[in-house]
Amino acid sequence: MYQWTSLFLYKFQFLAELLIAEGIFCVSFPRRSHFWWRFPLGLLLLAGLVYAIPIADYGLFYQTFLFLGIFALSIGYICFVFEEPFLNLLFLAVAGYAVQHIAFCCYQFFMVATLFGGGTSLAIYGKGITANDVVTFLSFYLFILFYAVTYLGAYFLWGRSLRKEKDFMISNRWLFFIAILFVFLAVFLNSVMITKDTPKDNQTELLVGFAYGILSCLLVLVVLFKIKEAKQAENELAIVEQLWREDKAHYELAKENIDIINIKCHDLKHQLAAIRLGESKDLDALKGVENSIMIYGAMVKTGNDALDVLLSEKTLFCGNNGISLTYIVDGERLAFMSYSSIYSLFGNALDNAIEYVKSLSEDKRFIRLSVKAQDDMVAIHIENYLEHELPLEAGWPKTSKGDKAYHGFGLLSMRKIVEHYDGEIFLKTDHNLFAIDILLPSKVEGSGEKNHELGLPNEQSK
Amino acid sequence: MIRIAIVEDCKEDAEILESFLGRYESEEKTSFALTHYKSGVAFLENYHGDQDIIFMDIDLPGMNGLDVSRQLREKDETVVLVFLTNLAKYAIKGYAVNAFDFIAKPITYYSFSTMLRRAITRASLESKDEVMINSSGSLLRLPLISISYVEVFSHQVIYHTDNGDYSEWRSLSSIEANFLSHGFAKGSSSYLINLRRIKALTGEKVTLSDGKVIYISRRNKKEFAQTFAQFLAGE
Repeated sequence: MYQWTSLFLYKFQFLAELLIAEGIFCVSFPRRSHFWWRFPLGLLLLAGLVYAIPIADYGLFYQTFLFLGIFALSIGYICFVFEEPFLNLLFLAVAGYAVQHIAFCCYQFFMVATLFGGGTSLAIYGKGITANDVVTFLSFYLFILFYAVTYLGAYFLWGRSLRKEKDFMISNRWLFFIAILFVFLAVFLNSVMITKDTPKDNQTELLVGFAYGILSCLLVLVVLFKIKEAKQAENELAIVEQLWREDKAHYELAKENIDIINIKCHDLKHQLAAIRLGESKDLDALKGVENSIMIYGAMVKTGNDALDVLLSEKTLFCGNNGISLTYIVDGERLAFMSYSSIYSLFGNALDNAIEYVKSLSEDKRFIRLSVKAQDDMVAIHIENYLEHELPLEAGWPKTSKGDKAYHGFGLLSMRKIVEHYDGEIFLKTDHNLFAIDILLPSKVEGSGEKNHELGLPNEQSK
Repeated sequence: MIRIAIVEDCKEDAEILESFLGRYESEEKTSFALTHYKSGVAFLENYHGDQDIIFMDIDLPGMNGLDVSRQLREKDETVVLVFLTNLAKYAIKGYAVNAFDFIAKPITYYSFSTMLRRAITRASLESKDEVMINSSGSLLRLPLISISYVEVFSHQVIYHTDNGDYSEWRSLSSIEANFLSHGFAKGSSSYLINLRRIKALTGEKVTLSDGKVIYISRRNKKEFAQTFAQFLAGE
């Protein structure tokens, strides 16, 4: 059972083929801590475990068990090394196995079709190699060639796209399950062929079998990356929905603001009329006029048009809802962002904060915003009072069902925008404060002047 | 003892502020040394870099709060400056005088206390502490903020400053805590980087204002970026 027969050796070759194929997909995913310890030590342990699997039988079922067993161990290894949800790692491993199987089938298809070296390429599944050395060497180079081409092809077709889209989820678990079954079926059929057939006698049967292996695994890969992409389309749909909802809410808000201004203008007219007729004590009436005019004091100048519109509107709304909204904003430094991104990013952040503080008692209704810059970096900070503890999970709030609909999408949309600009977003809850910190590289060359003019009006003296 | 100056001409507002500071002292078991100025001119005449936090009204008689702050920054670039105002829009450009933040009047305690907590943390970050180092036999004092980054190399710690490099035999971990509480962040097991000197941070690449490039480790990347973001925002 532990003799160094070719199948016993092939266990390790198969393990290596499998790990490299899985590596194509896993390489850019977040690694666990102490990665450089886990990686070699896990590999050693894995090799030990594979060594420990005995070759109890050369039959069909045992060979299938052997390969699927090694595959299962390789999944365990990946989970030990990479930090990703299990289903995602399983996805990557299955994709890896499919690629390995395609490479294997391509190589064997060629070897059987040409009857290279007298059709001994399947001898590895037996007890000894009988071919002479030259043929063995040549077939080794062919082997390397076929695997290299297949693996590189898989990397460029699918592996590369994973670099950018690390945040994926499997949208259809049924299809995923069926895809896994198809890989298992291909492995099983393969065992049927290699244990029963010999290249010389059953050439056609084998060629059909390997062709089937190639095509079924290709299909599996296409399906896998389809159900992965589908999830992203769902994400995008969610954002579009959110933006639409916001536009609607935005309209209602703007309308409310216009109503406020209209009412104030109406009051103003009557107050002026009262002064003209001398009906009221002048001082009171003037105070009223002053208050009415104060509302126009909300017009904001930050150095960024999109932010001016947004902040003017939010200031007006906050003023009428007893919320103190304050900001220190270096708006010129946001010039690298599109207006729609700015409107959406700040709008989402402020809406979330407004929605939350509105539920608090009046003395706790404050929101503070700052946009500050240092050289090529811009930091956005938004904070508001936090009444109760808000547990964060992996830096993100655990949302209860009720507020997920609102808060969750807002944050998701913000994160998408921040990622678009190669930035980072962090949430923090601490001592009754909820804070969002956003770090963005501004990429704008030559805009590093430090001392902007202060836009202070002249009528400052009392 | 945290030293706080209040520059405020309105008696009522100053009293509210003082009562809030008193409440904070007793609730958080800390103590403040308060100085109250009624005008910006009086404040500037008496200021010698000896405060930790300054609360400055913008609407001051004579010289307004922003002009006072501009002159203050010529004397002291780092002291934590918080504006007080009832006209929020005048404070928008507070970043130009490196204002920490501002509080809108009328002041409420919760708005005030949450900001004060951050201001105190910031003040300790900006304190003008020095490190004593033993560089090739001679003892010298380096102001922490004059150090652009610290590097460990074959059991030596190298302090890279504006005036050249200094090294001494010690481990990075023995000085780490002190630096981390003064606006430095850990880039990897061998670098502590002064956050004030970062020109750009893209992925794992840190570019310092003098052009020097340092690569931070993957493991420290996220925490480093968060510390930097919070530092820039004034936390």
